[in-house]
Amino acid sequence: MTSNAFSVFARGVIAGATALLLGVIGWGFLSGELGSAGPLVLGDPFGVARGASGDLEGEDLEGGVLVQDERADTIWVFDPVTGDRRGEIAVARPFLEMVPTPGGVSVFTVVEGAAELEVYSTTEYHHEATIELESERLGAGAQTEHLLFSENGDTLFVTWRNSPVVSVYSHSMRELSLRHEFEIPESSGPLLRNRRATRLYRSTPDGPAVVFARNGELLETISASPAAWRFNSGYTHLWGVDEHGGVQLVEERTSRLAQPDLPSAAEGEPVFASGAETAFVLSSGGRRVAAFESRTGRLIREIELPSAATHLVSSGAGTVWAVDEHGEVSVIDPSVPALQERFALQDAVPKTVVSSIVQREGSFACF
Amino acid sequence: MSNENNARNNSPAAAGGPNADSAGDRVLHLTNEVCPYTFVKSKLALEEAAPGSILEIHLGNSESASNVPRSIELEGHEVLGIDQPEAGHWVVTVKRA
Amino acid sequence: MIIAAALALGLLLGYALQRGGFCMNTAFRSFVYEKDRSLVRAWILVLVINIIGVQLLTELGVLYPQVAPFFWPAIILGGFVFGVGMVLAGGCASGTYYRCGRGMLGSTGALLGFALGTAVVDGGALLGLQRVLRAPTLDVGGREATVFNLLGIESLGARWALLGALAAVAVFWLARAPKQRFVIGWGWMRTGAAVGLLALAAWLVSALAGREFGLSFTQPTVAITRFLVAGDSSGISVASYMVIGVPIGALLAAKAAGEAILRLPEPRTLLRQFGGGVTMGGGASIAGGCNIGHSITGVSTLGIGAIVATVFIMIGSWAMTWAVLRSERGRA
Repeated sequence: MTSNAFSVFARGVIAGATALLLGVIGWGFLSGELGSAGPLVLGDPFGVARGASGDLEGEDLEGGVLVQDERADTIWVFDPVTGDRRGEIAVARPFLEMVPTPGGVSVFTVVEGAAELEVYSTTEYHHEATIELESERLGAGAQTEHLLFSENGDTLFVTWRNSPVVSVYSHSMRELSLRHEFEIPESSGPLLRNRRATRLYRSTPDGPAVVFARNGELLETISASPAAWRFNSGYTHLWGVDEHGGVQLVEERTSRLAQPDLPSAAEGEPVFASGAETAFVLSSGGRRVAAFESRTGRLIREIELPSAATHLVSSGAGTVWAVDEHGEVSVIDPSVPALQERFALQDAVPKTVVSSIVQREGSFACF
Repeated sequence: MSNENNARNNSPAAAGGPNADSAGDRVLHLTNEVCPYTFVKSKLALEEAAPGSILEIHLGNSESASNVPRSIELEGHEVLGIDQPEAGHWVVTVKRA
Repeated sequence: MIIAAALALGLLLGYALQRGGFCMNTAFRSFVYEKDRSLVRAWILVLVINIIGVQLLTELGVLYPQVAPFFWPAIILGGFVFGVGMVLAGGCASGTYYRCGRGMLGSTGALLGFALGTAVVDGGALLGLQRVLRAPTLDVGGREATVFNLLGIESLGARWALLGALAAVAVFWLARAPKQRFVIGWGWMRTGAAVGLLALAAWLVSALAGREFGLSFTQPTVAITRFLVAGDSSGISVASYMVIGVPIGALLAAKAAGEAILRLPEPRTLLRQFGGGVTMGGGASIAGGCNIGHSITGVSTLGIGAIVATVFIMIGSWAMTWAVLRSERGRA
């Protein structure tokens, strides 16, 4: 009977699909792609680039890696996969910091010595807006220092030079309105946030202070030595590298501090590639990149670089870029982790490097 | 529709139940309905029916064909039989309590 | 390979949904209107497997579940609207997908409506509504609104004591279930176990692709719609491939059981199902998820938002079922 033949066929398909599913999940566990079993260094047998949405192709990614040039008033835009130059943004005024919006369509720059921001398009490469920031507490003469967007970009947190004040603005289409301000006593440097930006973190001499984002109420101060801090991609652990190259690790849920052992001094802010569970930190004067497990701090391996890197960034295409002062890029595959390839960024002398990939589904919309 | 005629000819007799065409009984054609209308219409039909009368419900999907009789039985009515005269067509015969 | 696994998972899920007749519309309705709890049991079993599984995998560091923000006006209104829509559409989001696969053209109409409704609210003409309703969010002391954070449970022991107690109550209730009568295909236990394990597998397959969530239907539907209509593939993820597999698996199961038949409902019914689909899609896009994204995957993260959304999906479905009963009574 045909229905019998079909039901045999259907069973075959179901058995095949089950085997495939179990096989892929089993492979995930064995290779360390799932869980902390530790990588068995199988390489990437399926050639799957791990980005926020699975396979990524360079041409699918709008925006790119933005490089502020040391010599000229220029931001170069490079392809995050191939390193090819995509465009050039002429900068209206010199800036201290560039911060892409979470959607990646624009980049906000902090104008030196002012309370103003210049905004540029990362896809059309032109100037979009000049925004004047006002602070009720600081009044005129305040100088903007650092910016931090909430996950969906509807809130912008601003800190000021030599000031413990945090100003919270509502943001929509490059327009800002001051919502409220508060002080985090004795704090300085950039702000960090948890995933939903309901808590903020800022360095104090005693360690990072933790406050409610909605009213600035101090929740606690995590006891740690001064360091450059950053959250891992799962927002489960706060990573810090202190001035002696010591790595500190704080579990978000408990605020417990761990200090993993290190064979060599680390430098700069740790970097996390999207979706990966590995932290990368420069070490040995930029000649190496140390790769750690982001939840335990266990050193996975150190990767030798052909030249001393000055910048370490997540490219936004699932890889990590170690960029040297001449614009030579060593691309690291975070899943192995190992050096994958090397290319040069045409004409760029990098001063600052950030990735700004356009995320059409960047923020939480729906499950 | 042809399959409904088909069902009417052969189902209740095959189940050994009473003749569906006898007076006072009702036939409910819900083959093209989906949940929750299958449930709603059967429930209302049973409410209207006289106690002891027989209702024949034609259903077009397996979920309804298992959920409707289960639900009806738990309401205290008697499910006399479930037939499948052809693929994708179920006939539930119920006696109103 | 991961894409193939996602498609395989969707196919298996479609097969299981069809074999088990896993309809959450019926499950939710039966709380109030019926005495049969078979589908409720299947759902509870799915939850037990997933809550324990997801929490365990989180403790082990395999998953970092993403928790939907508790934007309460959107959750309450969107959940209610989704519940209303699912009654009119003749099936929940997952139910609509698998019934569509076995040839029920009314469900195909509902699916097209669902796709339209989600796209209109999520990034479409009614985006403003979504924004406004989602503006007020609640959290617990600046942390995500989850049951653990709400109860202030931080220690490993206390977390598992609570989970153990919940699971024990659920298993006790399930174990007391009377024998299920009139089973066609799979009984509740087999259905719940199969759907539960597949939902858990969806977390793992997603994690392999860097997506920190489990099974969902709403976002993948929006993504597929946008891709088909505007060529915008940015939202396509592993979850989209899972969703594509569902009707195929359902067709396979239905064909093996001889239930794969093209069925065209009356024009009125078709229109009602389409409208129900639009309503359901709009509600899901406001609330940020459907009966799967919130009521299975979201609940397994113990997110307050997902739990509240589930309650309001139920309330919506009860209200609409009541209205349907009333109007049918009036007609008779």
